[in-house]
Amino acid sequence: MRIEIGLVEEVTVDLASVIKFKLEEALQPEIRYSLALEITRKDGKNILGFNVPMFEDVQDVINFSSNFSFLAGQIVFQELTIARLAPKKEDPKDQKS
Amino acid sequence: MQSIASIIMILVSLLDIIVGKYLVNQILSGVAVVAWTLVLIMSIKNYRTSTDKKILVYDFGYFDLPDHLKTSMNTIEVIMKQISTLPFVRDVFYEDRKIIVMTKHEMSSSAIMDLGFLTGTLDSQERTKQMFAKYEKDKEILNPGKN
Repeated sequence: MRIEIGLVEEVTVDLASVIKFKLEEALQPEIRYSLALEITRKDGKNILGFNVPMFEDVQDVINFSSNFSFLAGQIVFQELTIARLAPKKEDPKDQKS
Repeated sequence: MQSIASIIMILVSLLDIIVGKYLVNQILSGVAVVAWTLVLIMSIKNYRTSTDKKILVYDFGYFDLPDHLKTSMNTIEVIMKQISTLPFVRDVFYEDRKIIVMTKHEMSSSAIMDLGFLTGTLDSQERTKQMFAKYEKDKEILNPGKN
């Protein structure tokens, strides 16, 4: 089963790849590969997609999804905060004047 | 059983003789009202239990997380307080390194995921706040009176 989470518009493509990297970093290798995390774009929005590992119990599938979304929420907020705090690149037009 | 019934009958008759039929009736209807109230309370309680849905929002022992992603107990308490204000939430509790939410109705798996995502965001938000508060405090210690 593949699940997709729509990321807020503020998450740029660059930011989305950082989020993907950090999420993978938080996972154990055996889960990381089966998850096949991927960032795609749909209707001008970045989408975080992943496979839910096969569990025997449906409740385990829901628990895993909830845990994974928790981590995604944590990392998205962290990266957005860092991006908001980073000094904005100066506009080349402003530099000329 | 018969002897118990006979004893009750004798007691009621005695009560009837001593305090009069009117009072006996009053006492019996009082007992009936109390019994019905108890039955009603029990059925409401059963109804609530049958509609409450237990959701595991996050299991802190699930992933082997790096230190920067670990959550303190203080932060967990703040998250739980914020989650408890959601309209569909009946109760939030922490049990065995897990945040568990009791909802007023059944929720779809995508709604459970959304709640997980929201909880994770709240976690990060709270930790950012704490980090800034510490930074401001450190700044004040290093440069007293400059802020």
